[in-house]
Formats: sequence, C-alpha cells, structure tokens
Amino acid sequence: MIHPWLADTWQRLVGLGGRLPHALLFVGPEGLGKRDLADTLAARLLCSAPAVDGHACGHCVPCQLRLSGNHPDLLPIVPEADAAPESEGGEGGEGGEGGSGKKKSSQIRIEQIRDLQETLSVTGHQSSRRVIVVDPAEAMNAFTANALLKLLEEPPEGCIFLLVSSAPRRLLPTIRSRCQQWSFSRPADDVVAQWLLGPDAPPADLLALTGGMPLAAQRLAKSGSDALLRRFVKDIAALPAGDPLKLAGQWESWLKSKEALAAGFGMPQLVEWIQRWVTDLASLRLGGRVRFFPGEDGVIAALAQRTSVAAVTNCYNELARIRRVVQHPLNARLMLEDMLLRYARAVTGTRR
Amino acid sequence: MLLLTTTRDALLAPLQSVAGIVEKRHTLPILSNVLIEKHGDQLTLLATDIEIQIRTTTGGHIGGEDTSITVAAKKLQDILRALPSEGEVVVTLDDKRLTVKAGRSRFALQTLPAADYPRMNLPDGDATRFSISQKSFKRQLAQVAYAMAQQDIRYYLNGLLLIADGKELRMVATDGHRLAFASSPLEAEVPRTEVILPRKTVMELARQLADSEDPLEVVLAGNQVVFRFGPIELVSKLIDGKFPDYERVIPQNHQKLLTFERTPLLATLSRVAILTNDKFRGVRLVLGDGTLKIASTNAEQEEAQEELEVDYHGDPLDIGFNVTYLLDVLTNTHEDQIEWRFNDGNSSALVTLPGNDRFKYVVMPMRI
Repeated sequence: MIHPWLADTWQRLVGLGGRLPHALLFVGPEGLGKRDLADTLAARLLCSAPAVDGHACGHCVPCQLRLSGNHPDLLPIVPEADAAPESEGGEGGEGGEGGSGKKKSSQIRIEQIRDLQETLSVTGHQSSRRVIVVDPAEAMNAFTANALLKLLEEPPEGCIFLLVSSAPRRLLPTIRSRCQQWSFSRPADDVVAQWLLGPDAPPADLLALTGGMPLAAQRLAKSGSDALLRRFVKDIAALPAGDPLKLAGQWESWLKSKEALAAGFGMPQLVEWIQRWVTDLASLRLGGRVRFFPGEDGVIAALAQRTSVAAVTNCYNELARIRRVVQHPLNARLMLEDMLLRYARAVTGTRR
Repeated sequence: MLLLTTTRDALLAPLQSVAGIVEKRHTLPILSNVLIEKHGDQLTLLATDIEIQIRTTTGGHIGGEDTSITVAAKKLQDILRALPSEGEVVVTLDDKRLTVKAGRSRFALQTLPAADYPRMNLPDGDATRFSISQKSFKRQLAQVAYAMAQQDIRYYLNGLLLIADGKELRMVATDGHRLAFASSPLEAEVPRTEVILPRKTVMELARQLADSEDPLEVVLAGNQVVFRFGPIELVSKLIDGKFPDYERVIPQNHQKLLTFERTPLLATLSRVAILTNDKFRGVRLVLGDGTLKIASTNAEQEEAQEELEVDYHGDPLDIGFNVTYLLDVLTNTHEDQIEWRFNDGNSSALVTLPGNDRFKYVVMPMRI
C-alpha cells in the first residue's frame, strides 16, 4: 500500500522500470511508511503482471505465494525481535514454548547474512528475480554489514536489495555508497491534513507528538497511547510544585503497569517524550514555537517564564546523553529520578 | 471427505523418498509440509527445501476424491512408521484437518492450502535432454562427489560440474586442493551444456538412485535441472557461478609412472595415517628404485614408516601429500590396478586407471 505522501516517490520508482538500480536505500525518520514502500516495491518486482499504476496484481502465482508469506524469492532480513510474532504463530515444536527464554536479538545477526549468501548462490525459484528487504539496516553491526557488502558489491543476477533505515548515519559509509539513496522527509501539511480526514486517522495531538510522522502517530493511537500521553502531560506539568523523587516512584510503577505494557510503552518512549517536552520548552524560551505539544502551549509558556536559557538548554543536553543509554538495562528508578531531578532543577531554578 | 484407502507401506514408501529433504527449521513454515495431490487413481507427493523439489507419483489408488492439500511431513511420516504394517489406512480430509485412521488409532493433523505451496516452475523451452542408466550415473557421481568443497567461500566449488557435450557426459568436482574428473558415454548426441549441481542435490541423487539399468532422464534447462527416474522426479536449482577451467589443472606430460595394486596401498596408507599431524595430515612418499617408502610424523615426534615393493625404475622422488586426499580416491575407485603419474616434488600428481581415460584425479603435493 502506498501512502498519499509517498505517491510521487512511487511514481518515480515505477517510472524507472528496468533501470532500477540493484540496491536502494530508503532513508527518513521513523513512521513514514518506508518499509511499506519497500514491501510494495518488492511485490511489484516479483509480480508476473503488475497493474498499470505499478502495483502488484495480487492474483498471479507469485503474488499468491507472497500474500500467504511463502514466496521463496522474497527474502526479508529483519532482527529476530521484529520477526518473532509470526514464527511463534506457526506451531513447529520447540520454538513456540520458550516465551520466557532468551530475549530475542534486536540486531541482524551475521548468520542471517551468511544464510542469505547461501540462498543467493543458487538460482531463483520462480525466476532469477529475487528481492531482499533489510529493515532496519542500522540493526546490522559492522561484521554483519561487511558480510552484506560483499553481496552488494557483486550481486547475483536478478537480485535487488531494498534497505530501509531511519538512522542512515549509523550505517557503514561503504554500505551507503553502494546503494542509491532515496531520502524522505516530513510529509507536507496539506497532504497529511487530507489523510487525517480519512478513516482510522490518529488524533492531531499524537501527530504533533511524533513530529508529524503519520504512521508513527497511527501506531500510537492504535496502542491506546492517548491516555498515557494525558497522564504524562498532567504529571510533568505539575512537577515544579511537586516532588521529583515521588513522581519517579510513581512512574516506575506506571512503566510496569498493565496499560503501559499493553501499549508497548517503555522507558525509551518515556525518555523521548520528556526530551520532546523539554525541546518545546527550550524552543519557546529561545523565541521559537511549540512543536510537539501544541495543545499544552499555555502550560509550557508558563514554565518557560520561570526558566533561564542556560538551565533549559543544559537540561536538554543532559537528556540527550541519557537517551543514548536508554536501551541499556539500567535501574529504571534511578534513571527516572536522575531525569526528573535535572528537569526540576531547570524549571524551578533551585538546587535540590 | 475420503481421500484414499491404502496400506501403510503403500503410503510410507513414497513419503520417505520425498520427506528426506524436508528441513526441520526453515524461514517459510509451509516448507515443513508435504504436498499431497490426488488425481484419479494417481497419488502425488511433493516436498521441497527451496533448493530441491522431489515429487513421486504412484498409481492404483482407487476410490476417494480429487484434491490437493499440504500437511506436516515429519509428523505424517512418524505416524505411518509407528503404525502396524498390516491393516488398512484411511485418510480423510474434513474441515481443513487431515485425519489418518488405522485400526483403533486416529490422528487429526493440521493442514495448509496447496495453493500456498511454493512449487518450482518446470523449465520449458530450450533444454538439453539425455538419458542414461541409473547405475552408470550413480557410479560416476560416486567417482567424483567426495572431492566437492564443503561450505567454501568460493560457492561455485560447493557443487559438482556436469557437462553434457556431444556423446559424452563429464563430471568434475574440486575443493582447490584436489580435483576429480569422470566421464561416461551418452547414446545420443547433445549440444554442449554446463551446469553446477548444488552439493545437496548430488547427495540426494546418490541416495535415491538405484543400482539398476533402469533409465534416468536428465533435462538441463536454463536455471534448473530435472532428473526423472522410476516414480521420482527431482528438480534442482543450480549454482549460479563460473566453475574453474578444469582442463588446465589436469597435467598432461608427467613422465614418472607408478602402477600399483589398490588394496595393499590403501591398507598401508591407512596405517601410516594414524601418526599424521591432525591438522595437516601430511605423509611423505619417497620413491626409489623398486621401492616406495611411506612415512609420517606428528607433532609429538612420533613416527610411522612402511616400505612397499613397486614396479618403478625411474629417477628417485620425494613428495608429500595430504593422506586424506589419497585415501578418498583409493576408497572411491574399485579397480585393482591404479596408475600414478608424477613430475617432481612440487607439481601435482595424477591418478588414473590403466587403459582408461574416463577417470582422472589430480592432487596437489604439500611441503613436509
């Protein structure tokens, strides 16, 4: 499926026809539909009779195999953690039961690339055309990326690599230079405004929170994050008057609560929200405008009055540092206390 | 609805011949299934691991309706194997579940639709076809298959080069240290065609082919190869690469000729091999007037030595080999007399059969 804001790109891709390069790198912020675009393109490349608008027909044998998830020439390379839900559905013995077992890797392992090399060394199944989708490409570490590099440099006949990345600077420069880069940025407001009128569009405040990334907002809305967002705003707005240590305790149990787990709401997202809140604060203090929390501009303006430029930018920098370690298994309580104390210091201007 | 009524063995035998290639863990869940097709009195079973596809067709299954469905191959095989061999087996399909009934046992298995099964498209259009006896093809495979590389980074060596040219069928396999070549005559003339069969296909063929004069039909087409023998049709993908030029590797003018009996030399080498270095497996051959001295040492300074009387009257020669490569060729040929040609201690040696240029084995020496 092609999202309205990607329609132009799609037309350009289809227009390339046989001149499509063997490796494409889709680059842009998360929540834009880059993977959807890659999947749609893969479907088109594998379909035996694509429609006039470039989409796969959906009826031919290759399409049927693809739709049932059994196309041998479509090779998605994704981290184990992302692929997990599907494989657990198929009852195949040992794999299914170990739910409490080892945590699934969020990296693309080198074995996956080695298996791919082996698969690609023999000829294709339906034809020689094979499509490899790597998502997210930055999940490859240096060793994995170098293994893939070998394939990118001398691709077997008929192979097309589609790499998807929302952090292209974390890719090896050698990988980047061997792909044709297609960059995507925030969709134009009028296109998104049109889309917001359609069915299952997310509320505007979630769209703003994700920085205008429509699919990221939709994901938040679907997981029921608007209630979480309301609580976050209420708590953080009341903090200057309250006790940061107490709030850290409340938030720790909040992160473990059922509704947070159900929504997939965890520490990374919470840190991101605090960071965006402080960004708005700093931006307003520096004479900019509120970007992520437009509904709360009154609260933010009041807070901005009480801070100094130095304090708020300092707080912003500290949060950026914390965000770097957010994936590490640190003590959640200490991390929250640390963040909230720093924030409280910035907005109240006192040492606590 | 009733699918078929049969005996255990009538279903188990064809299932076992296709289920051997089904892999336990695969990215596509449907590949652990076997496709069962019933058409008239014909029952077709088909399994694939994406690289190879095997299909068997058996007739004489009267009764039951035409349908096609896929079901877990391993489970069906285990069930059939555990059933008593006499008595009737009734297979029915109701509401997407395949039920196997025998005596008082009843098993209901999950199924997946046949349309989702990734079958290989059979090649059409231009193809090189020839026919050869199963026995001859199997023998030729055995003559070279052991020399294939295993998981080599040069992926085109992890397979066997098959060349049909004129009235000749040639097979070549190499791992970079030794090379085996075998050829056999074909009845009809064919245009020159070269393909590289993946290792797994070679192993599967060696397992499935019979030692009989029954014909094996081979179709080499584009990016696939089809083997038909008995009730089985095996379709394999090919390795997409360029095989090294083997003709340049086979030495032409080696002067020193040594003829020996295969069995005594094999026994000697396996004795001497005991005290070789585990990693390099090197043995030293010293060839003098009428004698061949074979010696080995290992890292612990232990030594083995044995002398053979041979029919050799040329210049003396001192040369080292990896004993595994020598044992491989001696165990996989069956003639009594074997010829061995050398040039000097630094160039490759050639093993052939007397009065026959249909088999050649080249092995590189090692410095000891």
